Amino acid sequence: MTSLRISNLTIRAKETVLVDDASTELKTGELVVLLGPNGAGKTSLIRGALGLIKPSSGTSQLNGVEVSSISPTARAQQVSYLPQIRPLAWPNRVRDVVALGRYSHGATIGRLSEQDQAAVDTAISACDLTHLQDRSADTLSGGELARMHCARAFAANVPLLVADEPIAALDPRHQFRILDLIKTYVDQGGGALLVLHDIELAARYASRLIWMKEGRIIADGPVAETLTAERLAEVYGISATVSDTRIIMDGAL
Amino acid sequence: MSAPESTVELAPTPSLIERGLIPVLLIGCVIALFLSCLLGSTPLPPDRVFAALFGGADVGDRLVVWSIRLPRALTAFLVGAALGLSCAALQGLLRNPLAEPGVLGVSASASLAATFSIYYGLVGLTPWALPLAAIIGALGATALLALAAIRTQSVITLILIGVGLSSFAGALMSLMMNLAPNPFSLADMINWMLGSVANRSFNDIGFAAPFLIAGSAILLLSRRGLSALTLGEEAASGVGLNLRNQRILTVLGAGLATGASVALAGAIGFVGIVAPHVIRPFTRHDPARSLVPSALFAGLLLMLADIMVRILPSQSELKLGVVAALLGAPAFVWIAMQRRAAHD
Repeated sequence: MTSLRISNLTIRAKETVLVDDASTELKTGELVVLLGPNGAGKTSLIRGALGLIKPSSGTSQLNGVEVSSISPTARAQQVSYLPQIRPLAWPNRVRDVVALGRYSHGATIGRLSEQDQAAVDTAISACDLTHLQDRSADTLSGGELARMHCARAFAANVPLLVADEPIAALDPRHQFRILDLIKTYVDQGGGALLVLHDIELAARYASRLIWMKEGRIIADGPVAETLTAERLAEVYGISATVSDTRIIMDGAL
Repeated sequence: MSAPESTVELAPTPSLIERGLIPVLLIGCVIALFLSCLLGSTPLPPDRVFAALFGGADVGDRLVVWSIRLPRALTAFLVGAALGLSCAALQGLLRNPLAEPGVLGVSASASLAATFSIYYGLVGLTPWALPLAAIIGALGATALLALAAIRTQSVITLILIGVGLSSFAGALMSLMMNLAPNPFSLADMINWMLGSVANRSFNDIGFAAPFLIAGSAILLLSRRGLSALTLGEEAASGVGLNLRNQRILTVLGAGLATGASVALAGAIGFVGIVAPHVIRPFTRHDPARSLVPSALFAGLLLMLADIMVRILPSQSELKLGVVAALLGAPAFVWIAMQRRAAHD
């Protein structure tokens, strides 16, 4: 089993506290969704957990080893990280972008080993990109781009996935498709930590929810236990009625 | 009936163009090198050039080919290749097709340091003074750019810093010319500013070679990370790229190679920018794979430009740097105008 565990993580940028004394864990076999309003520190928490920014105190451990002491390559062989989608620098072929997911395995995208080829093929067909694989990535729609980046993460074939808003700006159908792909990945033994803004989708797919507000984790547990009208009011400042995992939002408080 | 082998899904094979690119460029370079030996103030027929190259010709022919034309053509190739390679690597690192040692002020800084070493007579102390000075100038500028690159994500800012560096180096250069003690050092400095490969010897190549080889080796060995940077810096670290090391290696390699090229030929701008732009579509826009073809193509371009310089009927020979900039600067403007705002 692979685990990414943060303990008492605090991250500061100059005077501002971005993440305040956060502790949690991501293990294989669970789909965790990180919720919180804009500026709650979700992205900072993820980046701190992956060792991409230096915490001012606290630790983040990948399989019990301090993440900052692991090389980026070794880390990427355990955790695949999808930041918020940015445009590519060059108009690369879809297949080549997916192949970059094999970077930590030493792949050169011009010359893939058989193992790399196989992983790329599997990821491409899982994400339904076969007919698009020779297209230039700058000709794809938003949904296709999101699938391409998911395929890139899956091609890495690693136990953990951390994704920052993987379904931002997608239409509902594509949101479901991406989350289904991630759900399948988790069912096959992976572990995923996702930042989402859609609370209903989070409740539907997650096995656990982490609620963040102003840099602090204020709740962390199964959907049934942590999703309440009071919490929605506290974290998001909205009034809503919750029945089971259904949410009816009434408006801002 | 045996099962057909074709059930195995065909991995897309590199197209003929992709495979043929490097051999075609190599053949082009050899032809241009040979042409350079043919052409000059006294045109030599091909058979005499062959004889001179492979022994057996008369002493005069051998002297012309081995001491004048071949070193000159080889210098043009090496300078072009170094600039093309540095440029392709810097474009990969900064993810922008407008990044170029000349635009970023690296060439100007190297040129300034080289001029400085000529002005203060350091060149008289050791033949290593000039290449070392040029390389220190180039590394200083690239290090400054790399520091800026850590602070800002905007490539526009980097290019503006480069423009500032270029102007500052130009101003200091003008100051030195202003204060030049005699017309001879003035002429020397103008040579550096304009850039030329005339009258270079194998000795000159030898003194720049160690830096050229080291810079190129660093760039070629670290090129794989440039592919990852296509995704942007955050995602590139996500797939396992050591961003800090990649920055250091690319900047160091480009600084060494550009410095060596300035030590050989002075400041020759804009060659680097054309080559990767033409090559990229043939290498499926993979920055890593565009390095070697870009170097060969830029070397070829500069050899051709140098041939042009020599056969153009003009009173005094045109400087290679002037011709390169006359051809390259419009290309820079054209590439800039083609870009869509979405990429920044």
